[in-house]
Amino acid sequence: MSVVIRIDNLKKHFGSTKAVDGVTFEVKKGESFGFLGPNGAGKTTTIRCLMDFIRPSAGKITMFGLDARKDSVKLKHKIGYLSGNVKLYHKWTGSEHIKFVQDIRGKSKNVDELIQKLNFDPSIKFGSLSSGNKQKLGLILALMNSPELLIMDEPTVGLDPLLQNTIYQIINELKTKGTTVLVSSHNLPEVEKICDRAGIIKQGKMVAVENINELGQKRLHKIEVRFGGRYSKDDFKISGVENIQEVKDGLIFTVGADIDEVIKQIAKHKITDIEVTHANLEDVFLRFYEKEL
Amino acid sequence: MLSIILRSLKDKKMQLLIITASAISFLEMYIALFPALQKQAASMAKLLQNYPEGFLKTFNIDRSSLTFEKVGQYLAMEQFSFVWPILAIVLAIGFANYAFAAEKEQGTIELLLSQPISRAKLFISRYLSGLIGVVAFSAISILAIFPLAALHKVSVQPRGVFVLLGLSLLFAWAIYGIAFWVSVIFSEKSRASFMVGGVLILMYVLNILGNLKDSLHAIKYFSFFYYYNPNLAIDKGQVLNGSILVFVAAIIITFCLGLFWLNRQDLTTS
Repeated sequence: MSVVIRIDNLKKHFGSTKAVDGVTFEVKKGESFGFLGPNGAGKTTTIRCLMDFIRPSAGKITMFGLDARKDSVKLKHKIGYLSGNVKLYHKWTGSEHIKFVQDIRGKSKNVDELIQKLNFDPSIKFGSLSSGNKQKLGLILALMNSPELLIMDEPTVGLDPLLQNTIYQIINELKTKGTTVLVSSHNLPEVEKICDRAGIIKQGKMVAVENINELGQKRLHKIEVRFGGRYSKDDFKISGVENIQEVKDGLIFTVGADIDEVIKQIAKHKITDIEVTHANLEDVFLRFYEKEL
Repeated sequence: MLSIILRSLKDKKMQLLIITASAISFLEMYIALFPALQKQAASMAKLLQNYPEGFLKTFNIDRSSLTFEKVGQYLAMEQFSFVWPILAIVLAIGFANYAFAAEKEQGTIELLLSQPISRAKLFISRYLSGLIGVVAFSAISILAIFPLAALHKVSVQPRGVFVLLGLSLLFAWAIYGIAFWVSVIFSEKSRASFMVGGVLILMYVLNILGNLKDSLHAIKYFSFFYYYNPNLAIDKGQVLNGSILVFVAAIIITFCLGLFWLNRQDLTTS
């Protein structure tokens, strides 16, 4: 498979702040690559360098074998871009935005289909749209010229689950058509849903690049359980269970392995309440990537 | 490129219309008043002759021209020494800020930068759209002298009006050039406006001080307001030595600096 994105030792420093400090990775054609890291890790800065919004302090970025800066215009014919917090012209309607992009990029073949699929009303001014509809318009603008490469910077931040799922569905459809996707996120389950591989970035450095299956094994659950009868903290000192804290009538702990055994252990007790959540990315980093930093 | 120019003009058309209409309204008012003032020319001239020297120098008014016999001199003093430059400055800063500072402030610059258009083309498109606005304002607000003068049966010298148009256009373009460069540098409209406003106020002060104090006479050469002498242009059809050179140099230098800056700059939202 040919390489679509190649980033080699990318550095971007803002004064003494090292926003990105030696990031290297590749994204292959047709691949969906997740760029995973907590807020402030350097994801947006890397994407802005890719898009030539900002200029790297050092390193090299090529896409489709072309230089991201020198061949920026050629490349942008092939790239669709969507940021997490879409900012467009408040006084323009959706149709005016679409026309503007068509005037620059050429007539779109799929814009009507996208409008229909996203159930978007293009006659409303951008300033009057809800945040979800603003994001829909951003997505339409990014996809309306059928890009070969779609770059998205935290595209589902602040969106309701329904719209999040629509975006995941669209990304998965694009993947089947051979579109290469780079999506940044601080949400591990999201990356698992839509990506084949993920690069893990923290404090401007690439910690690891993992296949999504391997990443899935590193999923960390946080379980908060309240008991209606007798229980003992020692009952839960089993493989994978960590950080057990006692709270009123219950326990809170993290599970870094298969949760099946733990759930079975919990089921042996009388339960009044239980909450199983995915641990946040910081916890995942602490658990799995601390040594690499 | 054309789509960006047309879209920019569409976005700024209301500002252009309002400022141009304001300039024409003032012009109409002054020309309409002129026949009445002309009848009182002797007493008005006597009154103005008693104005302090410093005041006249501040507005680039030649004492010998205070006769109220010609509409050109009168318009140079009333309209083109004060009202028109202010309107031209507001328009120039408005167009320039829209080009980049506002785009960065509102985050809309990312939409432009994600399109297949080079920064140089983006710069030129936005520069041309603002320049079209400046040219349209200058031409309409100055050439309106002819129909308004005809309406009020006042005679004007066409050559003087055309020289004034050329000089005024260069003056407004030079200010637009500075404002455009500043708009490329800053990511907030307010900061860009303050910077340009500060530079122009400084130039204005330099011109006044240079005119008032012989020991400081050289500093006036650093001011656009010294080279912009509407009275000389409309009355005698002439411009001060070096005026065209100074304005053209400012236009070229600020254009090159703006383009250079934009090509090197990190364009992030503020």
